[in-house]
Amino acid sequence: MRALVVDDSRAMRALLTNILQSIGAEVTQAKDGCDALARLRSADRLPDLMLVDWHMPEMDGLELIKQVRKDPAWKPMTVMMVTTESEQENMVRALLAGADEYLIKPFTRDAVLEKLNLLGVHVPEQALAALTGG
Amino acid sequence: MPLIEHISPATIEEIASQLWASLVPAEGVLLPSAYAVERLRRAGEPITAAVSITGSCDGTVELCCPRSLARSIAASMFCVAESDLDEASITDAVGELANIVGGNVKSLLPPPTALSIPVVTTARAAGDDGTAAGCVVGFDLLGEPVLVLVRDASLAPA
Repeated sequence: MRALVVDDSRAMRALLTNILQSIGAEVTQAKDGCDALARLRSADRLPDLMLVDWHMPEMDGLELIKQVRKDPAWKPMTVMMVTTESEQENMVRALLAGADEYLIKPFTRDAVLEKLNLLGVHVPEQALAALTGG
Repeated sequence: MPLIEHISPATIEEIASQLWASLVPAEGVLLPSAYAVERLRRAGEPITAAVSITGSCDGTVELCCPRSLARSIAASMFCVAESDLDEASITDAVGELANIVGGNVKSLLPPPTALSIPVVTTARAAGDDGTAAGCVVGFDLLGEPVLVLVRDASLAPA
């Protein structure tokens, strides 16, 4: 699986990258919406998954998702918003913009893997077993 | 509308504890501490990250700790040795923690509200002596003090 992590915080990008790499994902990073769009446009192969922060300079996550969903070529990409915005109204805005899932910060590694599993992203059995205590 | 009407020390404790358990579990358990204010004053160089809340309520959320602890936290978040960290990484990590605490505080306030990008300084948080107009909650982490301040702009002196 290929993933793109979009967050203006290097620490948050590192955390999410570590979680995704632990399940075998190949991860690239972008520091804001503009950077993410540039990387998508120049990518040889599109990511299967994009994790997007909401509040970022230049272009925020909501706008990025809207831009991504305008392009039919990028439609197969699964998009999850990862944000501190926990108000229901904002969750609805993100989902209406085209996000497939929504994760509120702070999150645990298990919460990320559970959401990915719900989205149909391949999570190795060993990691899933750890989630269920199996 | 006074921000502080919607926030209590117990709320801040819950948010901060959840944050630590989620993002930096390797750094031990965050425990409430009545002595954190005094200990932070005596500690080495501090670092403070602040985010502003504007809208139905105005104020700031600040996180302040000694730089030595900030370095440990950043190493945990970046999954690298402390010796491999640069200053920008420490600033970024502490800023992100303040951003998450601020975002969770914001979610408890009546809409509309907006949260700023974090600002990180190498200074003690003003009012970290317990005189901040709002709510100050102290913690102990790995034997070092951490303060979370929620400052209510409506209570600031004119």
